[in-house]
Amino acid sequence: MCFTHLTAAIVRAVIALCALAFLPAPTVSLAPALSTPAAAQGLDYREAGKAPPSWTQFAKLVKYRFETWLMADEPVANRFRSYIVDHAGKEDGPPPSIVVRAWLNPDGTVERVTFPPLPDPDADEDLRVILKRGNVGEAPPPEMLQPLNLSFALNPKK
Amino acid sequence: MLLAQYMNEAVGITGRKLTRCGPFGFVASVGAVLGPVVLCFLAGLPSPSRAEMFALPQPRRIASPQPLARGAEPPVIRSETNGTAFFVDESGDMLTARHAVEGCARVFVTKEGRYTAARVVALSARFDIALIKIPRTWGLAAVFPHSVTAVANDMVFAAAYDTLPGMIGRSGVMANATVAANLGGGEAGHLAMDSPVTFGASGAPVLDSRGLVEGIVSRRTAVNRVLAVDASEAKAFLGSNGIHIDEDDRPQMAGSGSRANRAASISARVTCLQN
Repeated sequence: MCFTHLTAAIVRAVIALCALAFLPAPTVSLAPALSTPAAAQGLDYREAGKAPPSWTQFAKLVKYRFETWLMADEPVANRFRSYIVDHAGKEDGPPPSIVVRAWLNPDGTVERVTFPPLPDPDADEDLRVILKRGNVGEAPPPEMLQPLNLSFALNPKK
Repeated sequence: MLLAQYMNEAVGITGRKLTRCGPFGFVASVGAVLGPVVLCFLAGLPSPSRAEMFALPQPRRIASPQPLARGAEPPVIRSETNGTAFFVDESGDMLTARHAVEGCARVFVTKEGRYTAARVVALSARFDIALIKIPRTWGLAAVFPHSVTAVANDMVFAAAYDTLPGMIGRSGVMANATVAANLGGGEAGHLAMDSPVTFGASGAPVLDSRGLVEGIVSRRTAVNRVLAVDASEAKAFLGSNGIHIDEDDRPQMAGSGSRANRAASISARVTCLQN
């Protein structure tokens, strides 16, 4: 497993994030647009090890941006991290990990993200706002299959 | 007459002044010439009245001398220079120009509104490159080619980190320099470029059309001629310092992608503060 631990200075939370897009196969996936994860194993499915380096480099960049936005010291991100810390392991808490599917525009902005709904609708909306808030800094390779499937392991530490 | 009297007063009072103003050896010698009023003004104490000035010295207890040396204070920063550095792995290791970080009292790395202190890990003895480290990689790590393949007239990209936002704002730049005909400009281990880069570009990565690092900007040798340390030398330097880098000969970005954006993803500003 790959878990990148990040320290949140404000709430002293650590959210472990792991981008499936560059994990060793078979967990790595760069799935075609509008496909379910299962369907992504079809014709256009690419494991990270078999994907062009330009795709994996871009996936790394998206992962870095998502991490940065999640750990930002601003109200929405602070609130989301507080939710993770306060509700982890509880019935109404977040799952240990979620898979986020992200579509990016040619200008590097995040067009859309989808993920299984969190138990708390407010946290759900916060995560959506956080992941769509900025520009990743580069344009996606034109030929790259979308969406990117990114797995986030939510691992709070108080 | 008046001058002689004044001088007598000055000399006669100076001895007394020392008891009133403290043991300011240097200031006292100045006071012998400038007079007691000036002497105490320099020392920051009240001036004596005229009666006090002409009164005979009275026996008195002399306070024990106070040390003149001040306590330890932070050194004064006298200059600040900016260069460019770029990440070479996922652990916060960065490559830059040696002259950008050598002799610095402190080194800082700044990127996208964040800054942190950097540690100078190693300076190359042969080439103008240095290894610095910050706690974490901000962005992407650079990828090097297995072997340097740049040839004359190849289009490459190199720019100071501080100039990148302007380039990105203009929808990106794919190339802004060409590899010169005499690749090393007569210097082994170097890559010569015709490039407009200027201040702040020292340590910037030279990216080829695949987004691979072909060199590290070192110095200008003519109006538009810039020397970069060859990627082979940089890889050897990093390897000798235990840094594991990514090497690949395949394109790391789309052919139509902006090298300015990739440069921004892998690099940052490095600031040297000197005492």
